[in-house]
Amino acid sequence: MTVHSLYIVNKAGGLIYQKDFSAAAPKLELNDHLRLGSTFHGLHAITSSLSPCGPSSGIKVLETDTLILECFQTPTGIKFFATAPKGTTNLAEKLKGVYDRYADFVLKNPFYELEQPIRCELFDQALSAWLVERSAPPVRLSPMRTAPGAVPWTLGPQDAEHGAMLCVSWHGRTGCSPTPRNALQM
Amino acid sequence: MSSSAKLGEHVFSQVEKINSELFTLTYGAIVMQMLRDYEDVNEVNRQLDRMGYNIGVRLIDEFLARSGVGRCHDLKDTAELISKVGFKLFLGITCTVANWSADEKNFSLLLDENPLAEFVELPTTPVVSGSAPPSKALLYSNVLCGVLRGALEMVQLSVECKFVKDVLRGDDTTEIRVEFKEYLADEVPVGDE
Repeated sequence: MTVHSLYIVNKAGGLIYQKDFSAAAPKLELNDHLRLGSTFHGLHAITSSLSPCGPSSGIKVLETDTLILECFQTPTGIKFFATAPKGTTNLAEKLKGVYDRYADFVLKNPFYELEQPIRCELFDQALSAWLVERSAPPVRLSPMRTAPGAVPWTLGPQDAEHGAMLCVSWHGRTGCSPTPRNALQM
Repeated sequence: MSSSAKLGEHVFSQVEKINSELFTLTYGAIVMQMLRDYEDVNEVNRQLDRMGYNIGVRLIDEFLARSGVGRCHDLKDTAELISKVGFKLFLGITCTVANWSADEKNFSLLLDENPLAEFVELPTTPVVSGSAPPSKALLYSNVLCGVLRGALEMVQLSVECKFVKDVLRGDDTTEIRVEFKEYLADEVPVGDE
């Protein structure tokens, strides 16, 4: 499942990076994002003192009815946190991957100053590749017994819905090309 | 093999590698140019340490990301990780931790091999007449001291590092002395034990 948004907060609590990766992420102004980043930094600090059972780290996972938020704090004080749809299981692993890419593309960029907002194109590209789920590749299907004049066809993601209807009609008829009008609804 | 040595081998196998000779010769060219530019060997030593510091403050995050280690419990853990995982990850070598002080605050790192100093001979003639020659006064691999200092500062350990022995200057081994100064408690990220 695709991550909704990623936030990176520096040691002082200032937001240094924010990106939305799915259309479901709320469209907020930059100031709102800054506020969210600092608020989360504060909450993260407070929760470590609130823990009823011994020394505790700050917020690691926050679950609501519609989303989960996971936070990863490095020993150097940077927080990576991301929101994702409920049911996402690999968010922690994704955040570790973001940390790897931060080390590779941000820290190795000689023009990047530590603790400042991140403006590194390679980092953006690497994150898109890592965090955005690619849609499934096209599935090739052909009928088991090919009737004379029949044409094998492929099912692509954009016509998956259409293709499913075509599939049903193809099995129902031989020698005719399937039409949506004749398709049986799945 | 201890667990940190195993971790070191493992992360080393995962990471992309470059030609070590390219690395050695590039570093040598940098030091040579600095000697020409600054002319004063002590200034070159200082600048190498400063360069190392700037590298170290960024290197630490890559180290933490690749090795996945958390906080160390004490300085002995830190020394173990530096020598078996840190050096392995970035230089492909491991070094030995030795000469612990009585209060366990200072230790030495003994390097059997130093990739930065392969094929290097330090000139015996002074750069500027009257000053000490590089073969006596230049801390060729001083960038390593800076890296250690910078990296440890980012995890709230203030240390001082210096070369006490260097094969390039005629000693039998290469030894870096690491002295723990203080724990920067006010900079610990909240929520870290």
